[in-house]
Amino acid sequence: MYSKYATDVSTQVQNSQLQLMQKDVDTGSYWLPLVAGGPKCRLQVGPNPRLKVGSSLSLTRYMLGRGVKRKMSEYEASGGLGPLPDLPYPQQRQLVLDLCLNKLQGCHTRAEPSLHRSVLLANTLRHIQEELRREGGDPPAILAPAPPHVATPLHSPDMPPIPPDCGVICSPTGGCWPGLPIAMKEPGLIGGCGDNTRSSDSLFGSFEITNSTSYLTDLAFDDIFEDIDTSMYDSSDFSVLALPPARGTGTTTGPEDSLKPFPSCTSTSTLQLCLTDLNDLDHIMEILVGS
Amino acid sequence: NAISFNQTGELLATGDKGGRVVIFQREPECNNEPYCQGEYNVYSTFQSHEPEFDYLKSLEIEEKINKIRWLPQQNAAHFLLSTNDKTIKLWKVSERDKRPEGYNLKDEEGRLKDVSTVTSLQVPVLKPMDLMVEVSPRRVFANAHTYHVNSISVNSDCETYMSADDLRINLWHLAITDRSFNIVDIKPANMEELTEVITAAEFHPHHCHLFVYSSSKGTLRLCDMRAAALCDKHAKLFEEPEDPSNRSFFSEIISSISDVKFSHSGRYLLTRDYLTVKVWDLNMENKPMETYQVHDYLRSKLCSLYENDCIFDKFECAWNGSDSVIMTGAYNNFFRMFDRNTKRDVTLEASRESSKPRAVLKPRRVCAGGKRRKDDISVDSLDFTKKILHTAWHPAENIIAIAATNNLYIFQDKVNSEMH
Repeated sequence: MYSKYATDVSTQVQNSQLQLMQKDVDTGSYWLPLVAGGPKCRLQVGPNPRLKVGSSLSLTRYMLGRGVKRKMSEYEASGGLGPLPDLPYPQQRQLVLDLCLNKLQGCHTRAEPSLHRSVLLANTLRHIQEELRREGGDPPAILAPAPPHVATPLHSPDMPPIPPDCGVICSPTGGCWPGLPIAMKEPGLIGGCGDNTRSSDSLFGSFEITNSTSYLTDLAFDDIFEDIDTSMYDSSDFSVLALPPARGTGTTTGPEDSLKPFPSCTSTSTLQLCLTDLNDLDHIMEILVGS
Repeated sequence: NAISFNQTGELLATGDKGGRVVIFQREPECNNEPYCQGEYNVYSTFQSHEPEFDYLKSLEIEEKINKIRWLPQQNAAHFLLSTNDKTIKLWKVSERDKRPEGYNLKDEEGRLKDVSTVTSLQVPVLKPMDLMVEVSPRRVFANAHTYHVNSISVNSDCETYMSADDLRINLWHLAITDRSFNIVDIKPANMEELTEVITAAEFHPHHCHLFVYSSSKGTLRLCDMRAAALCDKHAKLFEEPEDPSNRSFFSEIISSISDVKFSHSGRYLLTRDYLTVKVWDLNMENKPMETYQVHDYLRSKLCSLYENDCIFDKFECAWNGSDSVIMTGAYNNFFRMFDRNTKRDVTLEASRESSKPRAVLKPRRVCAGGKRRKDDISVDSLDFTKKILHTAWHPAENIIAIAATNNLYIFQDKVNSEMH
C-alpha cells in the first residue's frame, strides 16, 4: 500500500502545475527555483518556517532579509500602499492569494484567533480559487509564463516525487487539523501559478480524502509520521475554516482517485490520512472547535 | 474601549482591554456660569473581568471588555452588563452616603460593648457620610458561549437580554444564570462549510419580541421571537445587491457589517461596514435608505489595509438622540458625523492637541490627490494605528464620547442648535 501511494504521488507531481519545493534531505533546507532553469535560491527552514511562495513579490520580500539584492518591484516603489491596479490582474490575484494563505497560517496567538477574520479570509481564498478554477483549462501543460517583467516562479515538471514523509503535519494531540491550507514544510504546493484549475482542485480536493475510509484504514499512523516535528502545531489553530470541499458531495471514488490531490493538499490531506474513520474526524473536530 | 451612556446620560461607562470598567458621572449643571454644562468626572472604577485560561483548548480568554450595556434604572441603584469574550456579568452600582450611628451593643469602632456598661437604650440614627460608590457583582452568566461574544443587548421588557457570539445568540433572564435559551444558531453541521458569522445584534427599543442581527456577508436579519423558539428563519432580510463596478477581491470583507443600531424611534437601522454607514428603513429590505461614505479614499488602498489587517477593524456607529445625526469613527483619530437632514458631514479629530478644554473642534479634511488645501491630511499620511472604533452619543443632548486608543474624549456642544 505504501509503495502504491508513493507512485500515485509522483504521477500527480508530474501532472500538476503546482510549484514544488525540492527538499535537500540532508540539510532540511529547501531550494526554490525562481525561474525554470534559473539560479536556485536557498531558503532556510527553521523550526517555524514561514515560507512564502507564489509570486516573486512575496518571495523577494522574504529574501530581503538574507542580503539578496533584488530589483524594487512596482508594488514597493509605490510606497506599499498600492496602486494594486497597476499590476496585471493575475498578479494581483496571486498577491491576494498569498496574503490570504499567510494570514490563515499565522494564527499562532495565545488567545483564540478571531473566527470572523478566519471566515472572511477563507471566503476570499475560496473566491480566488473558484476564479482560478473557472479560468483554468484542462490540459496539464506547463503554465504560460507571466509577463516577462515579473519573475513568477514556474513549475518544473522534472521534480522528483516528494517522499510521503516530508511535510506531514499532525497535531500533538493526535487530532487532525484539516483546514490548514499550507503545510509549513511544503508551501510551494499552493497556487504557484496563477491560472490553474488543477491547483485549485488540489487545494479543495484534500477534503475528498476524508471520505475515503477504505484507504485510510490501511495506513499505519505511527510508521509514516514518526519523524515529524509537531511541536509547533496545537489544536487551537483556526485554519480549519479555511477550505470547504469544492466538490461538495465528497463521495468516495476509491483509493486511487482520492490520492490524486494529495501532493498539493499538503498537510490537510496528510492530516486526514491520520484518521482511520470519518466519524473520528467529526468527533475530533467537535472537540477542537469546541462546539 | 467599550463605551456606553446610561438611559438618562448621567452615567458613562467605559471598559478597557485590561478588564476594567470606569464609570463617569455628569456633574449637575452649575448655575453660576451661563455655559457651564455638567462635566463628566470619574464616579467609580472596578475590575470587571480577569484573564482566564481555557485548559481544554489551551487558550487564553482575554479579559478585554467587548461591550457594556446599562439596564434601565428601576430603583436607586444602577445596573450594568459587561462582557468579555466568554462571560457576561451584571454589576450593581450603588451609593452610600449615610451610615447608622448610635448602636447599643457596638461602640463607634464596631467592637462589642460590655453589656454591663449599657445603662440606657438609644435608637441608632443615620448620619451623613462621604459618598461611597459600591460596585458589586450580582450575576455571572458564564459557560454559554463557545465563540467570542460580540454583542449584548437589554430587552425593552427589562427582564431579559441577549448575548451574541460569532455563531449563536442566547436569550437570558437577568435573574437566572444557569440557563439561557438559544434563539439563533447559524453553525453549520460541518464547520468546513462555514461562510458567514454573526457580527452584531440588538433588540428593538420598543418591541420586546423583535431583534436584529448582522452578518459578515453584509446582511441584516430581523427576527420575531413570537414566530418560533429558534429564530433561524428571519422575518425580514435586509441586503443591498452588490455594485458590480466596485467588485474586488475585498468586496466581501468590506461588506461585513461591524455594528448595527436601532434608531431611538425604532423605525430605522444604522449599519457600519468598512467604508460606509447606511440607514435602513425597517419597511424596505432591498436597499438602504441612505448611504454615507466614511472614508471612500481608502477604496484604492484596500490591498494594503488587507495586508496590515486594518481591513478587519470593527467600527461602531451611533445615532444622536433625535435620530437626525449619525456618527462613526475612522482612522488617524478622526471621527465623522453625518446630518441626515441637511446632508452635511464633518470630519473631526480626537487628539490632545485639538482638545484643549473649551476649544472648538476644527473640521478636518482628507485629500486623496487633486488639489490640496492647507491643513489637509493626505491619505498616505494617515495613521492607521490610531483608530476610533468606539463612539457613543448621549441619549438626549449633544454630548459624545470617543475612545481613541488609551484615551477617552468627551465633547459637548456649546450651541445646541447645530452640530459642531
